[in-house]
Amino acid sequence: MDVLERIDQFVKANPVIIFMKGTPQFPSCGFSSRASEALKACGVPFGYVNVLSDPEIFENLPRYRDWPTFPQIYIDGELIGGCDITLEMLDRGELQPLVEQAVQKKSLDNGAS
Amino acid sequence: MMSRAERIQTLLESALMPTHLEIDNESHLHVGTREETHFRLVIVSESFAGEGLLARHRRVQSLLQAERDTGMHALSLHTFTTAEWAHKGTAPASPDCAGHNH
Repeated sequence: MDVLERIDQFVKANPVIIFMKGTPQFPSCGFSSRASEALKACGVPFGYVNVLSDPEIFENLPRYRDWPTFPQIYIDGELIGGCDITLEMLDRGELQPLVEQAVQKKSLDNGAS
Repeated sequence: MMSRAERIQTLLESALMPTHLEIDNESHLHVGTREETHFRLVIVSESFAGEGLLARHRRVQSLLQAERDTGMHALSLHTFTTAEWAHKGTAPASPDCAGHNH
């Protein structure tokens, strides 16, 4: 499978997903760490891909939605941004409702199919 | 010859006419990097009004594409309108580098 299709599958299969350096438990980068902590603070499960353990995704993720850096956070299939935007949205109180809506929508979709 | 920080300043001042601009060279926070690789920018500009965070970041990233192409590795961005900045007044500091893989 083409790498962009593989990335797309991750994004579509998970209502909330972060492509990060390391894992939420063992992040390898301060920015990835902060962004995954912001998602944890929302209190709903989220998916992750450790880009350091998948060289093909590491190389190609920047061209998937034309975003040059890691981490990248996707909610309901949409690029939210990187660490700075995710933290700013948490600070504004916008992140949690967005995440909750995405998770709820996904569970409704699954129920219907 | 201008430093990267000076080039960033010149570019952003002419493109965004910021009312407040902070350019922190944070390369020292990172292991094994050259001198001007990691930057943290705080930009307060009325040109951000009515624009979402993603669009603001895309615009700044594209303004600084040439720097990215020539070795600027990481860019931490904090973008505000003057009203948002008056409300907030400060932007978060960057985390220390937790690894050597970036």
